[in-house]
Amino acid sequence: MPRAMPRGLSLEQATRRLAVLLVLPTWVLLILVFALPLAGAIWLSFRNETLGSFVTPRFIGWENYRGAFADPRFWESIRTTLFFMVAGLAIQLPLGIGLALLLHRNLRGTAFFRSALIVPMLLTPVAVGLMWRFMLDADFGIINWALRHVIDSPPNWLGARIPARFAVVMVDSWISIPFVMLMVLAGLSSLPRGPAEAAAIDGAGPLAIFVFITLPSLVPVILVIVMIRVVDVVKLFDILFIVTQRGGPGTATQTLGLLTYNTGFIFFQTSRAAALGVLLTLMVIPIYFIWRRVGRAP
Amino acid sequence: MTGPTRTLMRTLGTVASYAALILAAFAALFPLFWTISTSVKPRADTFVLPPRFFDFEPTLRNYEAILATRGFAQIYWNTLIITAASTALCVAVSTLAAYALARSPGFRSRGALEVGLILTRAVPTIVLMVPLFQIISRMGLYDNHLMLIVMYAAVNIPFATWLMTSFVAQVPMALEESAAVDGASRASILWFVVLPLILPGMSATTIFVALLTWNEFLIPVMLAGNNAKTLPVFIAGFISARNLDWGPMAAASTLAILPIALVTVIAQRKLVSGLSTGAVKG
Amino acid sequence: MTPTGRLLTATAVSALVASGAAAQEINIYLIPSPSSDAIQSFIPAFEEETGIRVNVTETPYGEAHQKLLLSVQLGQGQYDVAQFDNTFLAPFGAAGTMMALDDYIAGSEAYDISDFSEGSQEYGMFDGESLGLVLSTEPMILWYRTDLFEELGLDVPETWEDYRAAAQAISEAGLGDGNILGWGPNASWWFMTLIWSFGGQLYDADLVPQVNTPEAVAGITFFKDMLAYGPEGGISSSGDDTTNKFLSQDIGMMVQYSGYWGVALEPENSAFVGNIATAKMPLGTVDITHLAGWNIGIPSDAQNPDEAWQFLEFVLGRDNAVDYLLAGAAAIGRKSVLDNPELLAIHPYLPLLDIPETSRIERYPQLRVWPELEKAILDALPAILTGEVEVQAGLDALNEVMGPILAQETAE
Repeated sequence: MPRAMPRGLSLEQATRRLAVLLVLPTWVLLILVFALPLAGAIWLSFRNETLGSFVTPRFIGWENYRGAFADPRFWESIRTTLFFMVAGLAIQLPLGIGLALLLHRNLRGTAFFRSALIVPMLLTPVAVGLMWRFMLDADFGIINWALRHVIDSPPNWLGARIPARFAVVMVDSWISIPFVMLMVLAGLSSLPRGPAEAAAIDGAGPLAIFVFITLPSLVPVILVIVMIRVVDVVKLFDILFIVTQRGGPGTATQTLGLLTYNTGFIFFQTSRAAALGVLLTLMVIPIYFIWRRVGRAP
Repeated sequence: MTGPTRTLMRTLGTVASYAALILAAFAALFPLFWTISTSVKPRADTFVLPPRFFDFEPTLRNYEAILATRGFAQIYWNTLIITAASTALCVAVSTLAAYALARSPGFRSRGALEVGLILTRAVPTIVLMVPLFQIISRMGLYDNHLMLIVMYAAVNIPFATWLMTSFVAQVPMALEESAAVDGASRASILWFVVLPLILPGMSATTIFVALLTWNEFLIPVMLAGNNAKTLPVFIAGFISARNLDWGPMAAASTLAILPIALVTVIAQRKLVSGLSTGAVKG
Repeated sequence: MTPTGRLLTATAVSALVASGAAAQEINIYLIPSPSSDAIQSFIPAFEEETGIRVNVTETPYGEAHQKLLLSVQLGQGQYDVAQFDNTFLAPFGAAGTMMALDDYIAGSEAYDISDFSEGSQEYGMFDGESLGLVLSTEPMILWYRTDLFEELGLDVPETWEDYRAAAQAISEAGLGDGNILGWGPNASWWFMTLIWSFGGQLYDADLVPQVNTPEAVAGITFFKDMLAYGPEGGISSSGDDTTNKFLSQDIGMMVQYSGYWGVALEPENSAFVGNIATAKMPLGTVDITHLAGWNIGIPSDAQNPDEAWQFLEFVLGRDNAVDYLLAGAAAIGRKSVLDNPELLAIHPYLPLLDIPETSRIERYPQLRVWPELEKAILDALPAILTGEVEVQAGLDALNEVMGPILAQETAE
């Protein structure tokens, strides 16, 4: 027999009490795995520690931050990160929306296509990355073999600056378009049919209906997609680690996240990497405010 | 527009749609096909141009090599067990938090929790790696299964909570209110009324979290050694110093992808509807 | 207390007692490589002979050294034996990661250090102490395709000019690509080699960078020129890819570490097995041998250094040397095995490991800032190699960048 609600406590008050208890486990995990290490990173960022204690550890104030701002690699990595965001979204949004619209038509065989099209987002990125690197090879890669039937000299995907950046965008898009597609598909299926049908009766063509009715009502979903993709590009790691071998050629595909990794784990500069990490954290904080606006949109 | 023209347009539209879908499906599936094909190819046929699509003698040598690798069984087992335990922990913890977030607009610590969840989702794990390594090693938890289980669960909590919150929000509040009128306690309403209704959502969340956990690379590569090594780390090991092993690499990748493919086939509908609900109502 | 509990306690106590005398178990830290595979193949025999159990941890190269540094820094004695790339000798030395092995080496007849040439003996030394044994001796050597050379009647190149002519001849004859060097993510290997070989240096005794001198410019211009005779994917070829392509496509020559020979042995790996030969690296203005390879040693926080040494002696000792190489490892330059016919049949490059005194041995820069310096070089090279910037201008800019990085070397 369930115990009765304590006397004098409204359902809402009881819920509020319970809520505090329910989020406790989440708090414990977030503090252990996120807050403590982040505090550690902030502390490290004001020191001069190296992975091998080459120097006497001490506090050096803002030195690491000044160093980061003075380093051209820092600014270049931010530009690279932004490029991946913008170019990625420019490819992923139209293709994802287009595929979602196609699936939404519910043609025969849609179930098969839906399964096939979500496969890329499910596979292990490390395995997928290795396969892409193999396929993108300029000599025995299958992609350039195919391209040579169409153009004389296909790009040297992993060997030249600009092609390498597009190669990363391509692999990243291959993995994320299914996600965009699913989100848009969900948005489409929750739209009321009324307005579009009314417009069709008034003689509006499919394109007009899409531009003036469907697209505006998808805006909240698209904003959520943009937000998540922005975060995921900042976090992009596995693919860069494998496909372009840690941001190559040269610094062409080195994002700020990867520069942080390289500084901390390749150069052994723990504290300099911590400062880069803190800057990276500061840069993703605005995401929170966007989320507050769009994440809870009705 | 006349009738026949309209029919023609519609037919053309359908043909174009199929063409686009087939092209997209080809692009989505080709790398998977190429991985599997490479995994059963003799080495001599791997690097030739024009590429051999089907005209080669399939071999299981690459799989034999992988299965004979010292510790491969343990690596596979580690990945399975860590994925299972961590997913269970993550979904359980997230469901509780999701209930609180969906049902109580003003509980204490809510604002801070939201910030915490978003930051945990947004801040790259790499930022936390050195302090994490130091903390974990000092506690003697390096290369420990339980530590990995907790770590994975924590990094996936924001995503799982986000999905679960929208599932809870779909349960009509009226059901809970009427249960409360009948004298049920808050906790028993959650257990007996809400939980059964969100089970489908929980299973979709479980599948997603399990996939993310199965595929995670950065955490195990930094925080695990041999004892708790997982498949993605094993596969990444092919990059260095075993420089000719594209075949075994593809075989290992195929073995890593296999369970995922199974899940996709079995739970495709659930995955789509699960993410859909989360996406729109989030 | 339950019977099981008592049993467990008894086991624990006996384990404690035992550890006072001799360890039952050692943990070894290896990096996936032919050397690692060979080492592991001797574990069963070692366990049987000594009763010491050996646990192996293999970590991918990309993280291996960083994790070892962190682990030793925390001083938890996780590992008793550790393999490391010679590139990391200086960082490890500066951080005190590895134990000095000099006493063990001096007292070991089984290991017999005198079996190594003098250059090899110093190979694991940092600041006058031996921090690692030689696990492989891998000079940069010339690899070439005998079938292509015969067809064109070419002689094995002795100088870089011969090399250039041969590469050109093979390319122009349409037999394939003339040569391959690693122009991609590991281009630093060839960058150093060519600068040294053309008489330059990376930096002088005062740590002032020297990569824009006429000698260095000549070396890097040669590096760049050879790209034209390389395969299309050469520009993105890592060290591994370079070997891979040489073994899979028609490419006349390659300059590469000898340690890759193991993969060239398997007919399964290459259609050209039997048509690949090796020779001394071509001469520039200076006779140098660029020597790289693995080291293996005992971390300074090891809990069982004596047993660790016992293991190293067992696997890498003089008596096991032939078996060790037959197990597929990259060769170690032990004088006693260099003329072993059984080994020569499969490792024809072995005589090249007996480096003559006339050839100056060059190793990776022994700097703790080397990883950052190397990355700076790798960041600058693509633009230079593809001709986006002139060689001189590119190296001038690189020289500027290297200055502040080298300055950190002496920071306290």
